[in-house]
Amino acid sequence: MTQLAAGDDAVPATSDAPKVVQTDLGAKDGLTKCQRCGSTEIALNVATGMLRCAFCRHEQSSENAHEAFDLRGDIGDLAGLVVGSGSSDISESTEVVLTFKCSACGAEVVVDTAHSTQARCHWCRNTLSVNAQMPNGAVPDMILPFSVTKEEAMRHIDEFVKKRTFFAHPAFKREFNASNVMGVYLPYMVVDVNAHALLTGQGEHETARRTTGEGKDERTVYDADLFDVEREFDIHIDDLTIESSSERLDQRTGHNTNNIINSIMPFDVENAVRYDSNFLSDFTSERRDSNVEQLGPAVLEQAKDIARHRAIDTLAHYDRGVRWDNEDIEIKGQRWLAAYLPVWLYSHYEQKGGGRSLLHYVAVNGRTGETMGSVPLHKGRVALGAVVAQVIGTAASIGLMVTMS
Amino acid sequence: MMLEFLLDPASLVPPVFTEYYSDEDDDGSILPLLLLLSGPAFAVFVYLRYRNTDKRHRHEVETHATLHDVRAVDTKVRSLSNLSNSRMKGANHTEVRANRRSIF
Repeated sequence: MTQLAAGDDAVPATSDAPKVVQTDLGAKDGLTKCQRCGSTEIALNVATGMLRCAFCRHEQSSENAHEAFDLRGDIGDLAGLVVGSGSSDISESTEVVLTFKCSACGAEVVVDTAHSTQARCHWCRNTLSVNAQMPNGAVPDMILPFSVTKEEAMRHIDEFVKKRTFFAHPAFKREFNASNVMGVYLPYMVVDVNAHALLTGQGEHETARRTTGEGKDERTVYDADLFDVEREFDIHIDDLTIESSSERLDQRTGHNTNNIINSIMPFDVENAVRYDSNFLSDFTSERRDSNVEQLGPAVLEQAKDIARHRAIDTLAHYDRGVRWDNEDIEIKGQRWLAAYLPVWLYSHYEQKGGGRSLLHYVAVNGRTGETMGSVPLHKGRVALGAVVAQVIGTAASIGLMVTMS
Repeated sequence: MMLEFLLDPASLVPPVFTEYYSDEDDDGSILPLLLLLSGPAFAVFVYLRYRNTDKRHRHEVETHATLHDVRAVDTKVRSLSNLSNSRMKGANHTEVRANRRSIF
C-alpha cells in the first residue's frame, strides 16, 4: 500500500495497490486529558456536538474529518482506490481485547474493543482511550456524534410504539419502557465513487390509446413508437453508506430485524469529525469486521442502482418505460472511509415456539431523529381481526353483486 | 397453522385473481372480488405496519449523485399498434437489484 499523510495530494493510480490516507496522525492511546484542567472525564455534549470536561465544563471542538484529511476534492478527480487508514484490512491475529498500563497509577487496564474503545482504570478511576488505529476494525477514520438526545429518542420511540399497540404481543406491551434505549455507534463504510456508465436498451413512447369492443369485451389498446436507447455519462456518487459489520449486513427479515436499522439511513456524514474515543463515553459501539474487498461487490451493485435511477431524468420521452439490455459501469475511482454513525436502539427479545427467537429493534437515527421499528405481533388478535374484516368484506361483496345484477 | 396461513401472503392471492386484477378493467366489477380478500389483506396490512419488513434504506434515491457529460442516443426502430399493456413489457429502468432484505 502507498502511505499518504492526511493532506497530501492524491498520487495517480499506477497500480492496483490502494492509496492509504493516514487518518490517525498524532492520535495517542491512554489518558486523554482536558486541555484546561487535566481531567480525563470528557464526554460528548449532545446539545453542542462538542466534547465537554465533566469537571471544569471546558468544551473543545473537533475537526471536520473531510477537511482534516483534505478529502473535499472533486469526486471526478478520483482515480484508483483510496482508503482511509481506519478502513484498512482487518488482521485476524490482532487482539480485540487490549491491555494498557494506566499512565496515572501503573495498573493494568483491559479494553474490550468489540464494544468500546474506552475503559476506566479500576484503581485510580481515570479513563483510558484507544485512539491509534490497529488492524482489528475498532478505530475508524471518523465519527458522527449524536445530536439527538436520549430524551428526544425516547419520545420518538414512544410515539412510534403508541401507534402500534392494539395488535402488539402482550409481552412486548408489558415490558416496553423507552428509557431502556441504548446509544450505539455502529460501523459503516462511507464511499465516494467516480464511475462511467453506458446503458443500452429499448424504450417505448405512447402515441395513442383507444377503447375497442363492447360490453364485456371492451378493452383499452395502445399504440407506441419503439426506440433504441443509449445513455452514456459520468456519475459522481457522494457518501454512499453501507454497513461494515457482517451481522448488520444480514438483512433476512425472517431471521433478524436489521432492515430496521438500515431503513433509518441516510446520515449527514459530511459533518463527521476526526475519531476521538471520548465521543464513545456514555455510549457503546460495535466493531467493524468487514473489509473493503468484501463490501466492494455490494457497493458496485448499489452504484449501478443509483446510476440506473439517475438516468431516469433523461428518459422523460419514454412514458411506457425502458428496458436496459446492457449496463456497463466502470469504476474509475473510489474513496473509502470507515465511520461510526450514531443510532439509538431499543430492543425486545421475542421467544417464539419451537425454540426460535427474534430480536426486534426500534431504531432512531442519532442525527435526524428518523424512527423505524419492528413490533412483535399478537397473532391471535390479528387472526380475529382478519376474520372480522373477512366477514364484513364478504357481506359488502354480496351486497354489491346483488346491486349490480 | 391457521395463523401461519393468515400471515403468509404468498398463499393469500389465488392466481385466478391476479390474472383478473392485472386486466385494466376498472368499470367497478372488480370491487366485489377485491372485497372477498378483505381478511388476508387486513392481515398483511397489520403485519407490515407492525413488523415493517418492507422498509429499507432507499440507496438508489437517497444517495447524493450527479451526472456529467451525458450523451443520449435515441433511434426510432418502428411503430407498434394494438398493444394490450399500458407499460412496456420487460421495462426495468426503475429496478433495484442491491436489495438485501426479503419482506416475508
